[in-house]
Formats: sequence, C-alpha cells, structure tokens
Amino acid sequence: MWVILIINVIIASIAIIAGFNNRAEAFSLFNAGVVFVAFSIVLLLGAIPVYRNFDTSSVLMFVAGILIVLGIIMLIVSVIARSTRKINLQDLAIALMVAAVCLVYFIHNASLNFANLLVPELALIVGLILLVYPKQK
Amino acid sequence: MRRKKLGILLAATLLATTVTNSLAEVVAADAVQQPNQKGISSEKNNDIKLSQEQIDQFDKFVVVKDNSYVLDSKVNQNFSTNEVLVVKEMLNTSNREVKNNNLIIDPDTKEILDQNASPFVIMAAYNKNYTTKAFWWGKRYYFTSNIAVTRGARYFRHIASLRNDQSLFLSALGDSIAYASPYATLAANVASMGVGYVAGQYNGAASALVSYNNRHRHNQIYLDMNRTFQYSLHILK
Repeated sequence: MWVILIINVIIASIAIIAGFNNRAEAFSLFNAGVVFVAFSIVLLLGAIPVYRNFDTSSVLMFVAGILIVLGIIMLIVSVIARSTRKINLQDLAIALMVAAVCLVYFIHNASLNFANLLVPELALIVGLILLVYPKQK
Repeated sequence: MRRKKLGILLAATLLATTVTNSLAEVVAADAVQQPNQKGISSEKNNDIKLSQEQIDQFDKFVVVKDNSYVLDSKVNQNFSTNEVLVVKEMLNTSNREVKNNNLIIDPDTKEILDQNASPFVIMAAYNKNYTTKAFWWGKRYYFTSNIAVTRGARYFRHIASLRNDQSLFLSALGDSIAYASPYATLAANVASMGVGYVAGQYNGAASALVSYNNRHRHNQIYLDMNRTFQYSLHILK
C-alpha cells in the first residue's frame, strides 16, 4: 500500500512541476495556504452532518486538521517573507470542487441524504461560480 | 445500594462465565482438526469441540422464540447429529440461565440482555458481537468474547481497506488536475497521505487487538480509539 502511495506522490510531484511550467509562474506560498485552508474548511463542514458516525467524521476532521495546520503555516510564512499575496481564483475553485468530490466519496458509506450532501453541493456550486465568473468579467 | 449493584454484577458475571465458558472455551480451541466423529457415542458429546467457524455456521440456524433460543430443524441436513446435540445442550444451558435470572433475549441481535443491570454490566456480559460507546474523545470498543475480538479485528481491517481505497482515489484525483491547479494537487496528495496513515492505524489496531487478546485469553478487553486514531488496549475490570 505504502509503495503505491509513494509512487503516487512521486507522480503528483512530477505533475505539479509540469503544471507550474505550463503556467509560467512561481510557486506562491500564500496561494497554496489559501487553497489548503479552503480544502480543509469544506472537509470540516462536511464532517458536521455525519458527526455521529465516528469512522467517517474522524477521518474528515483528521485530514482537515492536517490541511488547516499546513495552510496556516504557509500563510504565516508568506506574510513573514512578504511574498506576493495574490489569490488565484481558478486554484481556489478547483480546490473547492476537488474537496466536494472527496467529501462525497468519504460520506457515501454513511448515507447520501440531503443534509450530508448540502456541504459538498454548496462547495461545488461556489467552485463553479469562482471558475466561471472571473472569465466572464 | 452498593449490595444491590454487587448482586447485579455477580449475576451478570455468573451469566458471563456460564455462557462464556460453554462457548468461549470451544472458540479457544482455534479450529483444531477434530478426530473422526462418526464413531463417537452420544455420551461423549462433551468431548466434541466446535471451531469458531462452525459456531458461526450454527448461528444462522439459531432463532429466538418466546424469549429462548431454538435450533431450526434444517440444521440436521447440514451438521452431524453429535454436533447438533452439543449445540442443543449449549442452547439449553443458555435458556435455563435466561429463565432463572429473568433475562431478555434480543430477537434481532440474539444477545442476552439484563434489563436490571447498569449499561456497564450489560456490556460486561457475554456478547459475541463487540459493543461500542461514544465519548467526547473518541470511541471505546468492548470485546467480551473471542468471537467479538475476531469480528472487531475483521471490522478494523475492513475500515483500513476502505481508507486505502479512499487514499488512492484522493491521490489519483489530485494527479489528474495537476495541469489545471498544482496547488489543489498538492492539497489532495497531502490529504491522501493523511488517509493512508488512518488506514495504517486501523490495520495496526486490528493486529494489536488480536495479539492483546491472545495474551489475555481469559479477560474481557476494550480498545480506546481517539479522533486522531491513536489506540490503546485495556482489560475490562
């Protein structure tokens, strides 16, 4: 399992480097921090309706906890380093949508009722708006 | 008040020991190959030991009728007469205990419940399924029989496998969007590693549970798991 995961992380690293080359922009800690915090907020909010289901809610809170801590550290470092504080809305939108898909996959074992689906659906809608609105503008 | 509680505790312990001894001892036999049973006479029924697997198979034919355990007639088609006699004897013992102690059998779960006992004592009584209790810090799993331990370990491994799948899904999903947003890829992969860690903890809990039970074969045990998936095992006193 760990071997597969490490291989995946290596592939992800290559993909991230390739993604940055395509964008022709440097890695922004501030942007990464915002994306991490947004991702974790979606997971945290998604854990509320399934709070009584220990297995599902705990894993959501655990992952959200890791992401929020890393995100806050990135934001603090970017503020201290006085790097560019510009949020890329496309990154934020994609992070929200990915978090929504992950959330649905996590809670589908619990139950896919209206209350449980509210947070991922809202995240998806907000993500879509953020993706489309700036382009129209 | 203290005496009454002690009485309830003793009654529950008696029930736990009588039922557990008759069932758990045979479970502890660990499915050892039995000698040819065809030649064993009915007087030697007590010598026949059923493996955990056999008990699980028999369980399908045990039904609850009028607050007592009854063996379905179809059981004779699937098991030998001697095995059926052993199980019938075990059920009669359990039924006697239920009647003598005014206990209740849950028709759905087939658990023996003492309506006068405190929740703690109910959990301490013999139960072939593990029971759980939620706390603010996490969850406590009670294992009062060897079957419950096996089922608990199986459940933990199932959750671990589920988390492994979710971890791989997160990682794959993250990789697929790297071109559109490398930041989201990074976040998804960090999340994937977190879920992978959770899977590892569940697998570890399953192995630790089995080995702890092997070291404390005659004790009822419980496992505490907090919300960061740190676990600890203890003996139920």
